[in-house]
Amino acid sequence: MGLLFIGLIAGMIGSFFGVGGGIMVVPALTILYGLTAQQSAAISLMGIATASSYAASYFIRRDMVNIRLGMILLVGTIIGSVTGAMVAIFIEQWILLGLFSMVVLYSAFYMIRNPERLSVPISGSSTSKASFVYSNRVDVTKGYVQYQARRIPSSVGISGVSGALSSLIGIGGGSINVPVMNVWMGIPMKISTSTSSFMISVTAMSGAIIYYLNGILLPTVAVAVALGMFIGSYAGSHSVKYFDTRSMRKYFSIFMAFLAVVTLLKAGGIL
Amino acid sequence: MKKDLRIIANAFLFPLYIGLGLTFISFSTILLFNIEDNSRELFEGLWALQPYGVLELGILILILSPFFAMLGAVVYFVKQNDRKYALLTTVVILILTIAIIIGAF
Repeated sequence: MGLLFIGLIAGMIGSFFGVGGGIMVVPALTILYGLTAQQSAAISLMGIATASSYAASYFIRRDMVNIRLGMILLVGTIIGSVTGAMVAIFIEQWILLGLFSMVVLYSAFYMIRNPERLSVPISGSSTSKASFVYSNRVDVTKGYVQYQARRIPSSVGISGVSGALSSLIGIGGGSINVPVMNVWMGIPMKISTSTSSFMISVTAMSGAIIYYLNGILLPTVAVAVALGMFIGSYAGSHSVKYFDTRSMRKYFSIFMAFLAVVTLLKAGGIL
Repeated sequence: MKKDLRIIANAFLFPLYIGLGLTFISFSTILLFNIEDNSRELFEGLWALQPYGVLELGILILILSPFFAMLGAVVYFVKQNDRKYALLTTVVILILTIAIIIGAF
């Protein structure tokens, strides 16, 4: 029951703030339930794969996902996440937990600053020659926006790192993907987040399946957390419009910093 | 064009719902009757309709739902006559499959 609850909260928070629920699941499982870092990462990845698959299908149906660009970047994240999961099996726990708290601290910091670069819509005449020009919807109600993706090769490389981190510590990787697409590649923010949810589902799956095949995924715990996360993210995404998440971001980032510190203490063997 | 997108969206959703259904039913059976985990083998458990076998199958389907979506994406790109991206998606699926095979051993 407690596990279901953790998943529920993680799923809701994930959909409120656009972060994978892994940020909550991993500390909760390692500290409260005494699981290893690898077991928690596996469970967290499975929950993320489930919840973000639902989100991805929602966005794809509304043509808000750049599937083509996502597919290019997936080459990086999948290779990264599969390698990450294979390596994670042999790594000492404290290293993984330490890495986790560093990434979470970075995400908390990123949430406070929250940079958003407005991409420049390209004018009609130049589009025919330029490559990697895409058109997607920014919102359900709004029309299509045309934009060009820049710096593709280096972004595939960065995606590889984000994929590796994703399976090593059991997070979705959205806190890396979204800024890369928005700030570095010049993709509109909304399209970046929805494309990221599509990428996360595939990335989390490729990490989770490696853990599963190596018998690290504990079935009953995983199902409790995944069901909770699915319900939580479903409820969260349908009720997010009733909450003012912008003002909640600051408090949530403080909470994330707290989680990072707690996990660091666990890594140091104090907790 | 937008109608074709449903192929990918549904390729995500169908396995997701099947997996959720299977895990939910088997998980609640396990909780209700306090069943001990006696078979760790997926297919053995399934054969005997053991709740743990069904649970494992549900988990596998749940995890793999993005994989089905990638298959859906190939169909989508082929329907769009977009050879380049159909090929790219196939390559991505191949990478995944090879990784899964390597990861299993």
